[in-house]
Amino acid sequence: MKKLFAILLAFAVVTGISACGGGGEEDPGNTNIPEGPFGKYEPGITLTSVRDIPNPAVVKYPDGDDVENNVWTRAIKEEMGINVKYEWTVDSSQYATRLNTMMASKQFPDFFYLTASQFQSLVEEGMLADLSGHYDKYGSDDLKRVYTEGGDNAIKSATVDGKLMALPWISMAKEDTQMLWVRTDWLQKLNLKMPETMDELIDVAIAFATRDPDGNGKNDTFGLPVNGDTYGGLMWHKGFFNGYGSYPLAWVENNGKLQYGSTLPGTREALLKLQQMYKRKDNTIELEFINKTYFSLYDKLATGKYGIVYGPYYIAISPLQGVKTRDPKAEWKPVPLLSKKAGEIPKVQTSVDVAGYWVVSKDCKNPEAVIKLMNYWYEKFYFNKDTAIYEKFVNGPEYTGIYLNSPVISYRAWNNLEAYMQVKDVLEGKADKSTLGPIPLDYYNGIKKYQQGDNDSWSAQMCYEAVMNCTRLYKDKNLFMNDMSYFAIDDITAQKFAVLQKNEREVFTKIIIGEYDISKYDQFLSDFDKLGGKEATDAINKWYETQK
Amino acid sequence: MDTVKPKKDSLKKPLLARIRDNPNKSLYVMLLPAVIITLIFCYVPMYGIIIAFQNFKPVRGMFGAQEWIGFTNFSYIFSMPDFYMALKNTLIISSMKMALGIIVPVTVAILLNEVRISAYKRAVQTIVYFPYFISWIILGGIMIDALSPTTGIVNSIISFFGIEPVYFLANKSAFPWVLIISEVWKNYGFSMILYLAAITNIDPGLYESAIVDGAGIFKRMRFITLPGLAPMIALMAVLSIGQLLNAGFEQVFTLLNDSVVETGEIIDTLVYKMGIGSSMYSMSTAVGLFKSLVSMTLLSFAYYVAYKKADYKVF
Repeated sequence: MKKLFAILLAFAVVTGISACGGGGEEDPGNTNIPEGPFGKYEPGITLTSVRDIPNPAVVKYPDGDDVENNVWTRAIKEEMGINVKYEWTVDSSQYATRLNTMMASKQFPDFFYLTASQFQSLVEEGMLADLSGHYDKYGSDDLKRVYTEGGDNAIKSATVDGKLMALPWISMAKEDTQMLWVRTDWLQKLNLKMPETMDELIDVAIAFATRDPDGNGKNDTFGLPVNGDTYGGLMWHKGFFNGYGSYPLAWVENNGKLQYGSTLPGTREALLKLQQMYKRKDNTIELEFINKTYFSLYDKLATGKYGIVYGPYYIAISPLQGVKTRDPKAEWKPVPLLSKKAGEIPKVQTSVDVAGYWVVSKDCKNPEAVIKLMNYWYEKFYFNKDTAIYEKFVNGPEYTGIYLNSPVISYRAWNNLEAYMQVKDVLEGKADKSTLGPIPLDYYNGIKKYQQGDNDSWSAQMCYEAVMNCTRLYKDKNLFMNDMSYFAIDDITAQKFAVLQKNEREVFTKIIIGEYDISKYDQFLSDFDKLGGKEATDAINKWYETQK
Repeated sequence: MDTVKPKKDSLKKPLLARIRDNPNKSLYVMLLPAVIITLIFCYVPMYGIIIAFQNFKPVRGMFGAQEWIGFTNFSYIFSMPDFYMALKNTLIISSMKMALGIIVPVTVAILLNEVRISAYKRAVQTIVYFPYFISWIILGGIMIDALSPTTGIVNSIISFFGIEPVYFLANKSAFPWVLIISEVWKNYGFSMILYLAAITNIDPGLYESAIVDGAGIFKRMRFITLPGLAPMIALMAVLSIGQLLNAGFEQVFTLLNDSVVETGEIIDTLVYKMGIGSSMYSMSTAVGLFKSLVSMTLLSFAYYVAYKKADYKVF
């Protein structure tokens, strides 16, 4: 027994020592901070980080290059005097786990990215550097513009007690909003007109499922795609719920207060309509949808079994381009979401435009250098107009996805809309092609190719139309219903909420397949309050008051 | 190499001398790697059990100042609204799998043993063994297609006989049986080979004298083959009873859908849905600990019964 104890002790000592080892390296840092957002460090400094390896299917490297040594790391070292060293790199599927292990061992690199809840716990433990002053002083004008162009939610969500504790990773949530796509050649064939209300949409879905719109003599087409996972995947039917004023899974503002979107009054009607569609048992909603995965749905879409789908503008590229490639006569039209009343566009469900947070360890000697890295990223990725630089840093003819090697990454809320607006000016002859930067030029060339008869470039034209017809409209009329749940709810609420959402999925699925009567929804509402939904709502509203 | 019993008086000698003189020392050295590996991978990680009683946050460190919350994680698990439903389903599905998982391969092994054409015997062995190697993720997809009420082969056969198609995977009473039968079908080939091997160990002289005494084929099965298999059956039963709370996560997770949760939800899938996916380490450790304790109790009990009643020993 004594020996066993000694062995255990030895283990504890060994692991303890290695856990302390990381903090030992003393780097005096550089106290001589160069002026301006792009000033070069002389002598150069070293920043440590950790990261996931970009998808090898997208990113190919020239010989000798890899994620730790590539165009980006070399350019940053040369132009900015910042040497980025990775303590570890790992496959992206492993990143979250590895990060948690790293956090448990308390060995933090100078900077890295993490999720909202991880960010919250690091702030609570006081592990992060305050970036407020550095951001004001060293952030480039472009950086500050980008961080606020989608609203102030992004910066707000990274601010704790008035201090900026992270640089948000801006996502394109508002450009990812759903629209309704309808096959117009099927409409024509069946002598139907473009639906303008939800009821008309349901009629079209029934016709698509039952009247053989593809004319192959087989009963193999479907109406409205409904995903067996109930929630999830790019094309789940949340746009259908939005049409009835329901916002499943989201915390949305209703009369000045936040409310859980699945409890909004419209949900009942949306479920009832889905139930009626399923009850027909004619594949208006696929009979076996509860067993089908998202991929099965995707497959059916790409092979032209559906003529209606909710999704963002870029589903034109995949799966819809697949339909067009198989059948050049196929025509899709993207329109803004429908509601019960013709011509009235409902608010479209979107989340806060933050995909994660870039944080800086409180032990980092040069926290401002991370701001400079972000400046550098935005200049090279978005604000550069030189094709040579674009091909070197973003997407080259030989190597694609080069930009994913940047040590920091963040996007823009309205980049694609802005790009398509520029394309529009050129297409309408209001501006010259030479004014286009590399990204809009790429879009423009795609559209031109399609107009010259290249069927495989159809998606370029459709993305353009979708953004022009829908996204632009959403933005101009501010038709967004924001999910405000970006704050980190505490564990107890989270646990209670897991129960609520499990219950919700079961009740909703059973209502759709007709096993439960719609009156079960009323019971769901009262259960929601009883099982902790009311407490959660109160807690969230208390937080929301402080944000106003 | 035979082991030699060290002499009694050697225990009085000093340690080093005792080691030097121990005739089995090379055996102990050979055992050492296994002991070390077991120690590192089975005993040291047991330290991690403590996080079941903590509100574990990775950022505070494995050995850091975690918040101790006693049995809160356990009471949360036991108070989950569907926990007892899931426990009941787990026990039903798992015990049926266990029972059929012994009856079916034993029966098939005994029948196959009587087959005299060796090519046929081998072919059957290989074919029934094959599904054992396919992962549930793939088999699940195949089953969803095969059991489909509109296009599935099973329902085509059923409707050939004029019976209404059954949506097996959305039918509450059929779903557990789908799980049980498919699991047994997938795995019985493996156990069957073990039983066949055990049958070959039975002394052929017994059969010969039974034939001389005029015992028919069924009498021989009943009074020679089956008793000869008894220790093997006892071993398999004892080993499988420790798995009573594991009703097969992969299988259930692939086939479960929201319409059959009442009869299909097991503890593992329930806990998964309740947030194991979102890094709730303490809770998943608590569930693991609960299941281990139950398994340990059942295993000890089953072993005790096998030892007392059937005079059967593993160790």
